[in-house]
Amino acid sequence: MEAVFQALLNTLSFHNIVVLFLGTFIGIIVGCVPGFNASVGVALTIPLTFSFAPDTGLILLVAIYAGAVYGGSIAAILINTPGEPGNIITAMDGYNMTKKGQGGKALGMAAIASWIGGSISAIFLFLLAPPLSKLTLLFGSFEMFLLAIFGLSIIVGLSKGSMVKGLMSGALGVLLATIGIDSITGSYRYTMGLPSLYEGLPLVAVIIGLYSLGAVFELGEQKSATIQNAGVKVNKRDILPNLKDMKKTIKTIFRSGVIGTFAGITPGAGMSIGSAVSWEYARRSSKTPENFGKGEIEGVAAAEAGNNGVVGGSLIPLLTLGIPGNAVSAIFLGGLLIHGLRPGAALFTTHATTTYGLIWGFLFANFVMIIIGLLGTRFFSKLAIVPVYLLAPLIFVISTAGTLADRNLLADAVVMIIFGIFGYFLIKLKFPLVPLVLGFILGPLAESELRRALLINQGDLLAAALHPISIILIVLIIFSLFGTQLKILSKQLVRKVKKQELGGAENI
Amino acid sequence: MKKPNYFFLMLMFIVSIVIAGCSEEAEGQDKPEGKGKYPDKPIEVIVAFNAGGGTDVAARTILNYAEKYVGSSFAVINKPGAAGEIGFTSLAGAPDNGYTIGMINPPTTLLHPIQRPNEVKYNLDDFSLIANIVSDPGAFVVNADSQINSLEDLFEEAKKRKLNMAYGGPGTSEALTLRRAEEMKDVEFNKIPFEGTSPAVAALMGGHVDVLITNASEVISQYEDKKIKVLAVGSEEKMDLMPDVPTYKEEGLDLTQISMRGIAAPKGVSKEQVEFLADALKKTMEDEEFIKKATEMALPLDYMGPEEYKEFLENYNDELVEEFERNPW
Repeated sequence: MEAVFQALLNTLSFHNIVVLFLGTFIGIIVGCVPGFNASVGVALTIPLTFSFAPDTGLILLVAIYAGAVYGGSIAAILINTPGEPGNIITAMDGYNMTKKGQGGKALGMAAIASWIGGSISAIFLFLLAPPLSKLTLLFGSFEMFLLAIFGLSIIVGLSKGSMVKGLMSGALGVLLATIGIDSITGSYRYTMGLPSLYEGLPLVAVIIGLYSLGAVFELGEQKSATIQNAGVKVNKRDILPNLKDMKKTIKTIFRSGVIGTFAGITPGAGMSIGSAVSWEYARRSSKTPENFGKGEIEGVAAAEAGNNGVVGGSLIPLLTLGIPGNAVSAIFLGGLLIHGLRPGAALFTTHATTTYGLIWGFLFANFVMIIIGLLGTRFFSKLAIVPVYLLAPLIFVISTAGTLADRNLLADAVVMIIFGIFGYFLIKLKFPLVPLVLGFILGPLAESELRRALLINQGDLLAAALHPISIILIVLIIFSLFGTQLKILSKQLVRKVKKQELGGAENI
Repeated sequence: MKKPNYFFLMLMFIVSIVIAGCSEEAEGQDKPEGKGKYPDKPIEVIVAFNAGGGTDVAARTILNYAEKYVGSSFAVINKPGAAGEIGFTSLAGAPDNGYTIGMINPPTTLLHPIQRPNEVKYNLDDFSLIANIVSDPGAFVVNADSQINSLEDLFEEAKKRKLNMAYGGPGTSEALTLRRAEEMKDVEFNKIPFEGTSPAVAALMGGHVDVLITNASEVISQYEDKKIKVLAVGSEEKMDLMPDVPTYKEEGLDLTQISMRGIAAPKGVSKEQVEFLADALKKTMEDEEFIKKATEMALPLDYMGPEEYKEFLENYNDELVEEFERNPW
């Protein structure tokens, strides 16, 4: 307990607060730029923290992590270029809001939702890290496979308009992800002898191509001179979310923060599942589900709270067990090691002051985030009225640079451009892009985990399917796929039973 | 229809700037080296794995301390992809002026060209070896509450039932060790490939697999927390970081399994430069501050100079080639 307060005092020292602001600010900027995301931000900062004291270094890293995850929403909302897979969900509603002149409102909501979502996960991290880390270990390969399938089942809800096109898009994503070395047998699939394809199509290049470059093409041909639809007058009240918006979304935000935290704890799930599940849950419990994906503020809130909840969640298994929950926390592990901090029990005993400093830092970083976020909203949202002939080429250049920054490979830029052109036609043919990205991320997870589960259980999955977590996930999948039908069916059943009862009564 | 014109004009303008930028950079690389003292500008270090990964962190740590002895700074460039093949290939083909060096990870670095000689565009002869830094022994690991307490137990148990063995996947050094161990002990494991050590450790701790073969340094935290048991390590001698753990050989398994991280330059770099860098790295690895850091980070340090390293890797390579010819995997 003493360590907790000692850590609080340390964190509130002048230089740590400066670092906190600086880190969050850098994080937001890094997150904003397409192609630069939390992974890149944390990885590039690790060497800088060499000369810092461990607590200061870790506060900087965690602030960048938190800031970057929020920052990703800014570009997603304003110019439809999500920097992280998690932000693709935010972009659906956020960008449509921007078009309607409600960009500021969406940004403000993203900041608030990120703050609450992140803080919820920080509280979980603070109070319940050791018991929750046991949850990580309960996930065997079969559970992971089911989780991936659960994530994929959300495509049904995400396919606004045409279900068939949504499913086709998702299947295409799964198919594209089969490129690369097969991780189970080591055989080369569709690599055409190109070493740059051995690890599959690069995710960053694919997302930037589909979204950023797609956005450039779209902007280039649109009639309106700005992103915001021509003739839209921004109501002064729409600059920030008002009380009514808050009342409407607060429940969703809290729920999504918890969903995100759990997604973070689960190995391999990460932000895409965290935000997608939160969004889908919000849509299902909404009175106006048809507005989701067309500029619903609740959609932005759900996606962002879910997204930021993952941050704290992913740190739980990392700090307690040394098992990173997602790609960013895997890099974060490097940051811990460089300061001689090995994850595990020692972090909460010998190094407790530093560890709790990190957790306090994360909690405060979320505060700083909302301060910068709300103050910046007015400036950021001006982007929506920048002439497209300035904006589009700029997005193109930054996207290319971002793609190259990922692996320093020119081939990735080629992939980005191919997917940009491809994405343009998909948009024109009204294929939704989100299912494609989800399929691309979750397809390989589902495949390798299923094959691993088959190997472990020597072909007999029945025992694995009867594990408690498996059963929960199977029920969730069934609800996710057939929930609406089940609802209708149960209503009909109830009506039938009532009728029979009534009929029976009449007969007497 | 004026706006689209603006748009494309601007696009073309920026594209041309980008192209110009690229070409200038390319020219910069061809600049002849300075005649003066080496090094008179930062040295680029190619790391064939992601920023923040094990190799990257190890490289940045030693380079950070080495700057003092080299008298110049290092710029780490991450070229990840294809299990290091992209980075190793680009190191082999880098200019040999002494200003580009890189990290190599034997035996992974050696295994690529042996397994796919027609596709991989480098081999051991394309490098001037500078120094080895880290030798990370392999390890057989079980869960803390496992009935298996020694390698002997492990092989006995494996004869009774098929044990689920987590490993890094086909073509890795772990796969090679497993194959030899299976041959020697006449057992067969149910081998489960995992991508990366973390998910495999999670599966082991969750009881989803029976045993894991990995690198010792990657399970140090869990070993110190007594969440897992390390049955044996693959080095010649016991590890300082795990003093109570026997070696494979002590336990009757006549094998060594070591993952190395060293520094190499492309072939053709002058002998003076190689010796200068090797000497600076040697001094770094004797630096007390660095040793302290390395201990904290659980880096099993193991310096080898240019000649020793070359001889060691050539022997290692011959062994692997022989093994592959005898029984390709």
